Amino acid sequence: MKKIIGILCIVLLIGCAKTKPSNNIDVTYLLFATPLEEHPVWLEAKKGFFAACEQENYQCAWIGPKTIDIDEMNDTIQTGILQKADAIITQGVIDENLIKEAQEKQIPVILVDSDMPNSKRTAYFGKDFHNQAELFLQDIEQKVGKDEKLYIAIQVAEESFQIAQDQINQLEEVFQNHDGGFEIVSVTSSKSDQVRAKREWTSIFTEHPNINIALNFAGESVIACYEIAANMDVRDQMLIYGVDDMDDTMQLLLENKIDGTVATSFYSYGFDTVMFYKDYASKSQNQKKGIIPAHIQMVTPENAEEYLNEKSNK
Amino acid sequence: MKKATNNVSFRTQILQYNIIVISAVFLALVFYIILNFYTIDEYENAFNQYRHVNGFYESLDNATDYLKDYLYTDAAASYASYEQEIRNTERHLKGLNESNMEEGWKTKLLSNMLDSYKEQVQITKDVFDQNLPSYGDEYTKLLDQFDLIKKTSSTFYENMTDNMEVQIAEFRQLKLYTILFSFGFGIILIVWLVYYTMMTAKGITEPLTSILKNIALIKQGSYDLTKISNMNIEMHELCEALEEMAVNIQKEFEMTKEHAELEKKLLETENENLKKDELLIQSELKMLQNQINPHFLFNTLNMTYKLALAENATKCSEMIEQISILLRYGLEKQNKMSDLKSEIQAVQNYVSIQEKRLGDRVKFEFFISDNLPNITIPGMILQPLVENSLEHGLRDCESDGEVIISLRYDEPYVYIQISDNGKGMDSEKCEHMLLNGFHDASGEHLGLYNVTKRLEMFYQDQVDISVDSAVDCGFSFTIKIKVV
Repeated sequence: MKKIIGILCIVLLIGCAKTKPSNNIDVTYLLFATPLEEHPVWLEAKKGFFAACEQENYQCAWIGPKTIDIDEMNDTIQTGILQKADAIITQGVIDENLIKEAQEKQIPVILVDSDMPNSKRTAYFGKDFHNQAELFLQDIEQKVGKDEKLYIAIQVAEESFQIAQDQINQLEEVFQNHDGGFEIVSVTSSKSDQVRAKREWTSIFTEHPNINIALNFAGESVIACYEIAANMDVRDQMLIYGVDDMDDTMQLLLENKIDGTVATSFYSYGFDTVMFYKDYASKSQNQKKGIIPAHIQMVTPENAEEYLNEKSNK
Repeated sequence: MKKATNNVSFRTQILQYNIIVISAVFLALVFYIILNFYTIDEYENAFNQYRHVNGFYESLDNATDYLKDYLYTDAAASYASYEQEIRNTERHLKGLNESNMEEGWKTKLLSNMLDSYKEQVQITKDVFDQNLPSYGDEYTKLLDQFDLIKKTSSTFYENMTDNMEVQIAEFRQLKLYTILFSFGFGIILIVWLVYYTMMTAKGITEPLTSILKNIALIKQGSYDLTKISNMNIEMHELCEALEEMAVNIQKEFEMTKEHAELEKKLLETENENLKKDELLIQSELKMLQNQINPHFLFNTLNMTYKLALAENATKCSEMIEQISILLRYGLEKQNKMSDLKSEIQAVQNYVSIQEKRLGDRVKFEFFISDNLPNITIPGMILQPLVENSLEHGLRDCESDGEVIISLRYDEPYVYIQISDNGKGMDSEKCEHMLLNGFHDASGEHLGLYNVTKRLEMFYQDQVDISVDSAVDCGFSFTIKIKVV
């Protein structure tokens, strides 16, 4: 009986001795100013970002607009500068002055997905768009041959974004090598909104019935593109491509509803940028690293399953 | 008696019981008080966090207003008020730091923002004081910064609201755990109290019942108090006292039993003595009868002998003479010592008389070895043995009766054997008689009894007497005397 009472006392004491973490700790604060806070592609990056933060015991924040809003992104970064964040990670679509201001206050700014090569950013993690364009051309020529003229419709998230321009520019440069020639008949913006994406594709397919290549540089666009093409019974006359490995995109691939996607790991964007900061902060003399290309590959219905297996094993 | 293994008194057991009950109730009370304090602390903490966050932003708002006022009016009092409000924001920050809020590291962000704001204020004030053209830009920058800081308030409030919701969920869970714990603790306490009460009651009543049962067994000596004695000190002492009492009773009981057995033996001895006395009296009576008659008998026999001689009745006178010698020997040697030759002479006289009386019915034969020593022997030993053969073995014999008197010496023993071919007796009876020294309550074998007793008294362990008989197979009485 004495033992039982003793155990009870210990349990009570342990139960009552709940402690809270002290506030006066030296923390490393990393801010990821995301262009889209709840977008599935960027949520992959969020997973990688917080996994690395937890691993390194960093305090991290994931802040951004729900729809594309550059001003809100700028405000987020400005706030991060005021808060003296240890590093800011964002997409290269923001006000260049903010990068300069952050640089003046010794806050490294790491860009992902979209670069601002003329800014004072510390590093850039992203696709090599030239390589991306080459992958598209290689796959298209495999499927339609080298002599077929290509009538290309492109949908991006936001035409005004440098990233969209860069992708289109590199596409134009690479597709010059296609013997049959090509024509970009339409470039539209989804504004990261699926309803808008569908509306745009409907009008494009109506206006340009000769389209044989549909390139979707925005995550939601590829789904909208397939649905509209299927509804308008024009799916078989064209090749549809995406640029991400979102669940919905991969499902379309597995069901052979689209022809390919140039996939890159947004998870790696989140994880690798934190690890880059760790390496950067540990060096006494910080140096700019420049462009760090992300691994990209063409995923088609034939290798989609293999790609997903490899991804789940990482 | 086993030592009390539960080396506590009953009083101590009751005391322990009370202490445990009080302790359990006290612990439960302490638990609830701590839980109450914890809940109140948490609520107070949440309230303080809200107060400090609100105070921080409100003070910063006021500070900006005072700063604007200073920049418009250049009034030193406004700047002093600004500084006071900044101190207030710092105080609230400190309070927030001490409030142990979840994700407390975020107060560092507030602190950093305040530092950035103060730096911008200083820059703006400097350009204002120096009347520099960049004042407008710096002022706008300052207001932008202020707006951004103000915007973060919603994030902080949201965070705190989220934390509060988490905390409320925790409180709900805690409430559930508390109810479950109280219920569980209550049930355990009640079960334990019932169990302990039953055990305590059992601890009192069971030993008493057991003692009562054992008291009944004490007189049989089969009691066992060991199981009860180790329950507590009082029981141990009680059992020790009972054990002592039981031992005394047992001793008393055994003494009484021994005493009764002794009395029984004494009575038996007395009874036997009485019987012996009776036999003695009978014997003495017989002796007296024998003593009374001789004077008269001898005178009569002398007169008869003289008459027989006078009338030339030779055989008659001879017989009378033999009777007279036999009777004289009997009277002289009765209860006195004689010798073996005299005994043989006496029994030959007796046989001679009996031969004349019995004629051919019984034949007597003597086998006497030449080397027979004339040892000292109690008188009247042989004649009663021959007489016993005639009276018991050959009483109903009408012819061919035979009595053999054999005496031989086989160094160092003298063997005397009187045997007949009479009706004998069964071997069991024969053995019984021998074991009892021929003592018979009916006095039937008084002659054998007298002979045996006198031989044993005289020779003690130097004599060995044996009989051999069977129904219708005669009777043989053997005396084996060791010649020293």
